[in-house]
Amino acid sequence: MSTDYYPIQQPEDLPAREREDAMGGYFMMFASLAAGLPLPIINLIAAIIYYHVNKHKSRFVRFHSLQSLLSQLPVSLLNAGLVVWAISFFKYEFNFDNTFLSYLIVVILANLLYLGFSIAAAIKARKGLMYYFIFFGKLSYEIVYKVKEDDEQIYRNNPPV
Amino acid sequence: MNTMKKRLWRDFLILVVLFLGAWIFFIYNPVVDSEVVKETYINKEKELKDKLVDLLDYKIADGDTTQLLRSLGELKHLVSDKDIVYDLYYSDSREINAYALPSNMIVINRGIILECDTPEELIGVIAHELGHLKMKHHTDKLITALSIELLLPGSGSTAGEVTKILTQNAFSRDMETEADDYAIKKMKELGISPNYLAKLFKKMYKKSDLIPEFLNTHPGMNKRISKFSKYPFEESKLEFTFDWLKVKNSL
Repeated sequence: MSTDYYPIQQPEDLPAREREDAMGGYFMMFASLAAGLPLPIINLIAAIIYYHVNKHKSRFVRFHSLQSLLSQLPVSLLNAGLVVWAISFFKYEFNFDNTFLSYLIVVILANLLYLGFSIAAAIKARKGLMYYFIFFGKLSYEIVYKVKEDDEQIYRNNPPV
Repeated sequence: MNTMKKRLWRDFLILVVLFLGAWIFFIYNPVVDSEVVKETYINKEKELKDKLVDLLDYKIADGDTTQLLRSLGELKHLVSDKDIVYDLYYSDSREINAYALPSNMIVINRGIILECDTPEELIGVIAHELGHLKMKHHTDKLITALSIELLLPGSGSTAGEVTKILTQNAFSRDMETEADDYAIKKMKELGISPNYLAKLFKKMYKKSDLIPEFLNTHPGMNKRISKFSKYPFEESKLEFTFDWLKVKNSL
């Protein structure tokens, strides 16, 4: 099994269009704001669509869109958990306690961190630079830049037998 | 396991520990006292409820003011449920209607009181509305409507939508059927034949605009009448401290 990685493109090798596409991956988080609704799933759907539309453009664009998509998953799950928990107050009992309040604070912090890191990554991407989030950066690099056996297989055209 | 995989696992564990650590930290070092927040919420809810009552000029049953409110208070005490504390209000509206509102409020219009020949009929109406409150139909309605609104973004703010859903939209047919079933159960518990409500529905049916059944959120009036008519009519043995005819004449 190969453990090689494709070379990372350097800023001077990246056309402006690719840099902008890479930056765009992070701006999908504003998709729900554009729709006027605080619904986490809209961000996620927009990020998935963006990734699939742009993944063939270049490894640089694919890396940044995938990092944006993967890092959104836990944030969206945390937000969804908060919504379900809050709704349960109205459905069952208004049990507003420290456990919920702490979760609320942690979710707000997670969203702020995600927002901050996404903006930083978008700026870096616009400059043609890589930017690795903790865990998601490495995971995206592994998925996008690792040489897979399928990639190495050489297909040959032959005349009919 | 290669080095990259090890690093991935390490990073993943760091994130999990950070999340759980922060959560636990804030549980034991709260930035805001959750009890204060809870109390503020309850006070705000009460404040809004009082404003609504003032605005719509609802009068609370149970008050020792008039014969009408005293008699409604008596009916309210009869129609009780151990799981729910509610307030019964009287509205001077001529519309033949009664409705349940969030914050466990039931409003009875003058119109429907005049339509009831006996207090037992009104007990059935109150029990039906209590069914909506007991089964938290407002919350279900809000969750369903908001989910649709959020998945199919339309115009208007979320807050505006919430208000609209809670105040304008009717309950679904299933919810009305559930509330009817609850009313039947409650009336039986009190020793009142559900047939009393059939009588009221028949009177309402005659006065209604005969909305086509498929357009009406209430189960078709004919179906409701048949449902409540299944129970044989027996004179109720309940005794009241008021004279219903006098109460109606006082309106």
